[in-house]
Amino acid sequence: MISCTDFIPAYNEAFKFLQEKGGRELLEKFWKFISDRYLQNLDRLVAEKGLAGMEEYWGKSLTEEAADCVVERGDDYFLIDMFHCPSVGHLNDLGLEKCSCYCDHCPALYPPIISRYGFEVQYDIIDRENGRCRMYVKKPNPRGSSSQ
Amino acid sequence: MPVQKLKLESKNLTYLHKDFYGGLSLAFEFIEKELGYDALEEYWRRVARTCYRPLIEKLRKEGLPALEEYLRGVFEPQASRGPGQNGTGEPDFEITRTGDELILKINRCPALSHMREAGYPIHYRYCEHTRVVNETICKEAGYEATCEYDQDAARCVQRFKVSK
Repeated sequence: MISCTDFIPAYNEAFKFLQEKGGRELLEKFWKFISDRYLQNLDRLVAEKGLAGMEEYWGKSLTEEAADCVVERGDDYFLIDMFHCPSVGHLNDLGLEKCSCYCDHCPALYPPIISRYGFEVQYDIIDRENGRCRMYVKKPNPRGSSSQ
Repeated sequence: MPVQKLKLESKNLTYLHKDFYGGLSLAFEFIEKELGYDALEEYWRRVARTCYRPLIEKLRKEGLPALEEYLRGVFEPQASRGPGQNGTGEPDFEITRTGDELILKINRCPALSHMREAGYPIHYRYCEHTRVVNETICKEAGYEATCEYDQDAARCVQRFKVSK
């Protein structure tokens, strides 16, 4: 059995496999499929609780994934400041070759769900090799303008 | 409302995110839908050869005790029931190792159990990946593996022994 603790290497291998068979187009199709089908709990939490739902989802998942990060929520924003991505760290520790666009799966998976509910999302991949990234979500301004 | 801030440090946390089983099952579904069943088996074999390379090397060098150590490391943290704790007297898994054979009996698969509880779709041949992955790992290390499973019952018996 591929254990959940071996999921990240298997996921990385799926990215490489799909990219090899069908290029970036097939890989992006896969990410959309995963975003639509695997992340229904995130969708539900954002729909029901907004920023608090994001805090609930990532508070649990990043704890279980043993991340090094700060998860922060204010009145009108939600932030994940990832210092050391557990997935990238896991692949580095195992010495496995990462899919060239491994980090791209996060901005492909999460922002489409969050923005569905009117939030603005900025996702910055800062360091692909060491797993550093930042996601900033802004609550929509009721007057129609926004600022960060 | 004051700012809510959660600072996570991996050194204080245990890595166990069972929702990943749902992602894995959906990956199987996608690969088969887009590329066919043969490609799915090819993917499983590739995962076995690549991701489990350290286990293959350890099994080849140290034999079945290395495999037992790996399996206990996987299943013990995920087990919800010890012997006699689940009302039936049956533990989630049992490992028996004799000189030349190791048997892993799973009475309650952690992957299938979690996916059912969490409501994730389960690939119709989910358990088949275990047979293919085990077979590939063992072949690379000079061993043989079989896996008899009942996906509906979330049970299987996995056997490992030296190739003749």
